[in-house]
Amino acid sequence: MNRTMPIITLLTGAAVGVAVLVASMLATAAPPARTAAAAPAVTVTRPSPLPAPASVPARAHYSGEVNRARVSVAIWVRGGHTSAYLCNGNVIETWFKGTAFAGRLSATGKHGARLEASYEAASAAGYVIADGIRYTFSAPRVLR
Amino acid sequence: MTTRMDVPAPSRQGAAKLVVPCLIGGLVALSLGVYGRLHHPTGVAVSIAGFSSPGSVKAWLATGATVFAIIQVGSALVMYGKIPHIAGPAWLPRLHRWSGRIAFLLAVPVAIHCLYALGFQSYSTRVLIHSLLGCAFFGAFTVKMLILPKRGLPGWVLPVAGAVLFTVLTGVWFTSAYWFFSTFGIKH
Repeated sequence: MNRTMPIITLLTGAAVGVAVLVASMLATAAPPARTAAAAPAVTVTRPSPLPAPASVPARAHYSGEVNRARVSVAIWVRGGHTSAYLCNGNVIETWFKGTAFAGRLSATGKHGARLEASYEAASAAGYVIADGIRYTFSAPRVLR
Repeated sequence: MTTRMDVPAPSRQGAAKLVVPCLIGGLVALSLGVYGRLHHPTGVAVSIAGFSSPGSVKAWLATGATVFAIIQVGSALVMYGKIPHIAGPAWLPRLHRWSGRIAFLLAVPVAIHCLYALGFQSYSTRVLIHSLLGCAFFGAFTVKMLILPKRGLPGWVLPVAGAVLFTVLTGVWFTSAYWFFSTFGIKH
């Protein structure tokens, strides 16, 4: 056995690790940087995925299942506030609190959990990150 | 008298060769944990095409690493003559080395994703055990790589190092991929 091979293995692993780390930094840092740079100029004209604020309800309740997993999500909108609940009836359970503005929901929960979604009269759609898992969902509005 | 004195000496000297690798390995594990604790978790990191979510990518990569780790234990048992009536073929050491390298290289992106996107966490028993074992795995792997080229080590050192690595990786897998598959079902 070549005696330098284990060191080469370690260095290769370190190189792969650094590459993945840099790729992750680029993947996560780029959008906020662009938004921050562009924000002053386009605050008013920035195109929104839901450009019809007239259809955005002030009070609403959405409920549905996330894609590809048996996990339910429920979202409440009250004025500018939102709260949400994610659970699978077993090990996954997280509450979220945040803001609702112009068709955008942004909420956070314990241990880094996060919810980002757009909402309108009929449904809310977006993603949730909890327990290291990212769920996408499209939840219809619950009408009473 | 001199021969009596000489007999334990190589063993003690051999064991002394473990000190520096163990210190370096401990430093690696500690650095990963400290980074995971200090770095603000982003929740997301780079993703790989073909999988539904980063969670399933990690679960499958970790499962791959664990399968190669099982090959590691099996090939080591045969190489050490612990399996009766099975003589290791000539390519067995090569299989052992390559399965180890592949297992390690599969585990690295998973660990980076964990540390970058989620961090070292302690909010549940599963998460705490996973965080501790995940950092310990890379420390233990560093120790094993550093002691592999050393001559004159006591015979128990490499088997113990390998057993520790396998045990830790199994613990890492049970607290992550097994949890993922048992919660969401086995899927891509």
